[in-house]
Amino acid sequence: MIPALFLKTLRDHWRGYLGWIIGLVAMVSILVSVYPTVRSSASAMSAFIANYPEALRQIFRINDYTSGAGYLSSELLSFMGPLIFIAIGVSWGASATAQEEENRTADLLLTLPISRSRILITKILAAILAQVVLALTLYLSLMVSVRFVDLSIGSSKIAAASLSCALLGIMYNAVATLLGAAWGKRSIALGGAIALAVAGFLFFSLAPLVSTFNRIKSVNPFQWTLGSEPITRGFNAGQTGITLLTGIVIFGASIFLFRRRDISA
Amino acid sequence: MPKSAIKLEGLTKYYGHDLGVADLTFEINPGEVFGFLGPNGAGKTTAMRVLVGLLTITSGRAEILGVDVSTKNPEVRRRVGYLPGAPSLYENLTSWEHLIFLSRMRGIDCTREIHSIAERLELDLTRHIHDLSKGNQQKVGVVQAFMHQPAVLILDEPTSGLDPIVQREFAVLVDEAQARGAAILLSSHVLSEVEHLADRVVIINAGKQVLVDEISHLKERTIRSIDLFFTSTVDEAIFSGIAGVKEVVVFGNRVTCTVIGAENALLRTAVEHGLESVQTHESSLDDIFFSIISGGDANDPSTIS
Repeated sequence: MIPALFLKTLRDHWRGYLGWIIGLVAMVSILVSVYPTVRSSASAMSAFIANYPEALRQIFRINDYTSGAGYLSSELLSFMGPLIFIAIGVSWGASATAQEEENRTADLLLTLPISRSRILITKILAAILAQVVLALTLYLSLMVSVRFVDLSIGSSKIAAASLSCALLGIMYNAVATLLGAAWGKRSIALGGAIALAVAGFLFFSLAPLVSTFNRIKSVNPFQWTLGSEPITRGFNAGQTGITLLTGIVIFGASIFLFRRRDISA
Repeated sequence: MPKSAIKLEGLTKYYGHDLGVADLTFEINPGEVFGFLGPNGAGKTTAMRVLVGLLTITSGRAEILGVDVSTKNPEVRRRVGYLPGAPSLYENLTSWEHLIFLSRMRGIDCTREIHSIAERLELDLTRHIHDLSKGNQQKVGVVQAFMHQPAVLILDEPTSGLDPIVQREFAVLVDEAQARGAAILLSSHVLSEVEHLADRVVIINAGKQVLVDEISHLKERTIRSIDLFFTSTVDEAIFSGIAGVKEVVVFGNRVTCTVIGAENALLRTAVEHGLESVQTHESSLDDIFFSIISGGDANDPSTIS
């Protein structure tokens, strides 16, 4: 870890990052504050939802609105929440090395008396910190919200749900970092990681409907994180372990490839 | 302490099937300024990027201060200053923030050097990089290459974009670095940019080494065309037999000719016959390449009458 580069990486991203943080807090506040209204009309709502096509309910994990966990799971933790984590993860990953190469600032950065491994590790740690802070934001804003609105969810389940979002963000950060380290092109890193995230989301969502997708769900990061439904079932050590291990392997591969890359003018 | 600061032995770099450079072999000693010449696209930048570890080597060997660059040992780069061609900087930082960032990354305090070099190059450190002209960005690049007083300087087209006054100050920086024993490799596609700075030059063309020679020898081998203006009409015969002078054409009181090697014999004769003014047309590098590659007269002064 190189403090100067760590701080610079945070500084380079802080504007956009702050925007996402504010957006996340706003989203949580609004969703939780309207929950009493939703719950009071829950029976009508349930009937309404029951008329939704099965596929739509599966894709967006729309389930029981009468429980706080079901509501949060449908509205926040199946799509919008993870989307923010993934967006930040992918954008930080694509800028780790690919953007430096494309802007040609890599010429100065990589000719300093610092190995490429240390430079990339520093950028990876900054991206992980970004995910952790985002998860803390989600956790704290949910914890504050439930003081005002009773969702009947324990703090450990909120923590587990926040953590699973961060793990998902870190996974796709690792994918973007790997693609950037291998090709040095921001577009490939962004496009590739987004494509994989969309594919992962669709496979995960459609797994209950499509048996082929269901068979391969064990290799899907969405399954490892959101699939264990942490907001209702709490922390899942096994799935968390698999996610972390895979992340470490992908980051390791990024460093391995980046060390061997030609940085062309 | 190894004898040479930079050493290339058969250095070859391919990009896939495309040749970058082939079989470059030369050494640069501490305290030596070494010019790296060649037309655009000849492979100068490729060779320099191999030396600073941005590119991997296909075959051959390159050493800096006795350390094989293919070991990717970052420690040796503590003693290397590198200026990329048309350096790209972090646009969101000021010059000062940028330079301090780089010196922190090096783990040393270069505050004093940053201020003193910036002042000499007339660089305003408070302005943002994105507000700076290409020339001023080049100055930031020069400061970061020199600020840690490296033992080896690798400078890719260092004077491009600099105005003549700043170029002169840059030459002083190079002289000072040379005086404290630094080895300096500087590239250019224009001979005149390096001839005042460099002791020796290597010329490459299409990735291949054409020659390594001292600047003084190179100039002796260079054909220059000269226009001489006299107070009155002169006779062509007075120029015959002067070493290195060829292609003499007389138009009344104006004489054009080409000269290779020293000009003093020609000028002495011209003065005796009422020389009024002289115009010298430096031959371009292309001319030198042509005369060297074609193995023509320039290679062998003895064939010149």
